[in-house]
Amino acid sequence: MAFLSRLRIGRNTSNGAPRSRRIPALIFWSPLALAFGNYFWTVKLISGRSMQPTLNPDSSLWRDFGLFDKFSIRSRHAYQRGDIVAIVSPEDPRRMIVKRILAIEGDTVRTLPPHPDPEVRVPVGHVWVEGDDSFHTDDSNRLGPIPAALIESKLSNGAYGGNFEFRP
Amino acid sequence: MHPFVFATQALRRSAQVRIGRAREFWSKPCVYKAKVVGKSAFKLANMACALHIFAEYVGTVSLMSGLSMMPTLADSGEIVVEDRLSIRWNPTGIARGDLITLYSPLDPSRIICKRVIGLPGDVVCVDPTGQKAPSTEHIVVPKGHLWISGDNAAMSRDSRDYGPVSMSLVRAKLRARIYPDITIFRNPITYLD
Repeated sequence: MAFLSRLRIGRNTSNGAPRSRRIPALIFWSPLALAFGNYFWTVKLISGRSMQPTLNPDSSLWRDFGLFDKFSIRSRHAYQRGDIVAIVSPEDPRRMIVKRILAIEGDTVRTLPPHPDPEVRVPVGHVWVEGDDSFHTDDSNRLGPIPAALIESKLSNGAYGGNFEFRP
Repeated sequence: MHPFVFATQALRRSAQVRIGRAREFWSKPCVYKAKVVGKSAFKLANMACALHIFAEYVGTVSLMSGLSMMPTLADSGEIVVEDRLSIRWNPTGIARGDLITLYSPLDPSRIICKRVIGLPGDVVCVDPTGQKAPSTEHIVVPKGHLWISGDNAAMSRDSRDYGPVSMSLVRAKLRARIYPDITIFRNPITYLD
């Protein structure tokens, strides 16, 4: 915060607005922070057990935080099979779901029970997502293939080779 | 004093003041100059971010192209006002007959503009013309989905091809056209009892 107050506008001018009418530094610089969270990386709290044992395992007492990468999805549309992604729920725009991409357009998937067909070909521009815990998940087996435009961000892979992992 | 003389003198004085300020700035130490330039760059970036956030959450003007909305919107060179605030505020507040923009379900990098025909739970005829599906085929729009269609049925790829689309794909409502003429888009639907 000391860094922000040093950058405050009009600090060195004597002829500017009186001190009480200046915009506080935190508000003045908030667009930078908001745009960073909107375009690059955000931290999200993950709830629910559909991604066990990868996320929210029973051994953990707290819910997991995830560092989600928006840049590669928004700007490059770079998603692959195996990525864990945050998706806006196709049924309710206010909800987000976290699932793993199993198949991308053109692939053929063998489905699990709630789905009516035994095999499905994923249509153009869609992905097939499933939770890691196939018993407690609301995924493509019920919702069908999901439009890739609904993918909002993906869980960043850390520099450690595996998934980014930090649990309190 | 004649206004022309006054203006000339005022301009000359302000130019002198500016030149004086520039000389003063350039005579300052290098570290100070770097600080000022860096701060201005930060402010510029901040302003760009503020504009971006306004466009993302409140609304923006955008250029339309494409044949699919032909009688309502021409195929190129029209500028419209997109209202994103009402979708952010109430994502399910969409009515039949609204003009919406949404991310294409076939290509995530494309944004398309269509008219809403059916809301969740409605029974819609897949294609009344019978070209893309038999005209007797009807479908119930599932929960959280919309049935959309272009105004120019002959040149539009819409729900007749890819079925109902998710409400989460909706980006904005079209409110008005501001170029070449100013038109406010009103909901044209009339209900028959």
